Amino acid sequence: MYKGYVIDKTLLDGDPHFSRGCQSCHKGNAKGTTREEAHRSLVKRPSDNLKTCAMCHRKIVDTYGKSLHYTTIGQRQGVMKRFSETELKAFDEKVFQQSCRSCHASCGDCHVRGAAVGGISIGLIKGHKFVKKDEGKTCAFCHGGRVYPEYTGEYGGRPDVHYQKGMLCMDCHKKSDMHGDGNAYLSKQDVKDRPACTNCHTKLGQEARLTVRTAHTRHRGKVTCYGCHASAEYRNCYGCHLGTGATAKPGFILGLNPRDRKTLTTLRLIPTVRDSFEKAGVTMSNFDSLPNYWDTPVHNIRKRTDRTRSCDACHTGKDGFLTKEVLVEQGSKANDGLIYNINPIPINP
Amino acid sequence: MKTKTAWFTALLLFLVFSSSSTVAVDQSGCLTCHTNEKIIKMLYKPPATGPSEGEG
Repeated sequence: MYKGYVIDKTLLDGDPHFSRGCQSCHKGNAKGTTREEAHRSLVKRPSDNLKTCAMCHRKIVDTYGKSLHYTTIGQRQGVMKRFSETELKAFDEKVFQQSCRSCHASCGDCHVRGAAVGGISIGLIKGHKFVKKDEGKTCAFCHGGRVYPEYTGEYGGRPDVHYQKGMLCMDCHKKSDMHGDGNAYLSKQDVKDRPACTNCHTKLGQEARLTVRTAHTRHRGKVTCYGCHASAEYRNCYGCHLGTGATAKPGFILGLNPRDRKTLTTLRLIPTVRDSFEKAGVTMSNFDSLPNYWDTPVHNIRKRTDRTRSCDACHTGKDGFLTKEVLVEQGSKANDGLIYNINPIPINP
Repeated sequence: MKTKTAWFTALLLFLVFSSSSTVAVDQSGCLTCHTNEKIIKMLYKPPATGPSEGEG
């Protein structure tokens, strides 16, 4: 772990980032003779203050300051409807600013030093090199609970087919998804040009095989790609409480997308429960206005899954479908609206 | 005359920029420790870990 703090000497002459000296960004006391003296007034993460990078990268910083990775406003947006006006004010002050906002990514988290998650960081990504991208050491840390291990297969099941073909995060998620495009979006759902399967898979419904062609044509607009092509159970977190966190277990859930209530898709349990923010004295008067499940783009896609092999997996077996019996206990009343009663395929005489 | 001035300006700019970057890096005491793996290993204190509140 100590290696995360060793700077690669060979970088110093070639990279203009170093020409102004360490103190230009990190402050501290270069003349200090002990660790403590040298680190007095040290700024560990200079890019937390966007002005540091803006000295040279003005355009990027301007858009990044409005991006979801920086504002983390999506986290607030996902829960805000549960609060009354007064409760929301208290939530913003005591939870969002103190807890959620602490999770924002600075420029350095992706380009210099891996972000710290739960107090642990890998330190410098590559001897203080300013790297363009290194998904396994950056994205994987913050998104290492759900997305990344599902993608690589570490969470169980099989790896995502795109991972096996050598694709990493930035092959689908574009630079503008990270740096922002200048718009202050409230949720990732609002982002124009967000990744979509159909960006690459443009010929759906024109396949040579009849079964594939029929499946794609019949389900288009009714079932999301994940609904059939998510290959295995994914991580669902339960009962999150401020300060103590949540518990997790694998699951596979199919139900109606809470955003439109008509498209069948993979759902993931949200760990927010009725007393999640009790420790901060924040209650949720309108808890039942949102369900306990959100639609989720599961990252363990395979061409063939149980549901692509047989129509019966869904139409007869109803495998993974959300039902009254499997709904989370003491959950939101809005959960009922996500249950989809799938019918058997009618047999024509 | 013009050629001389241009040469002089170029030389001046080269000296200013090359010396400033060299001086900035060389004068930094930070690099004495942070480019030496042995020293850093000796000074390194493992971080205290706490519960993680959320994982994406």
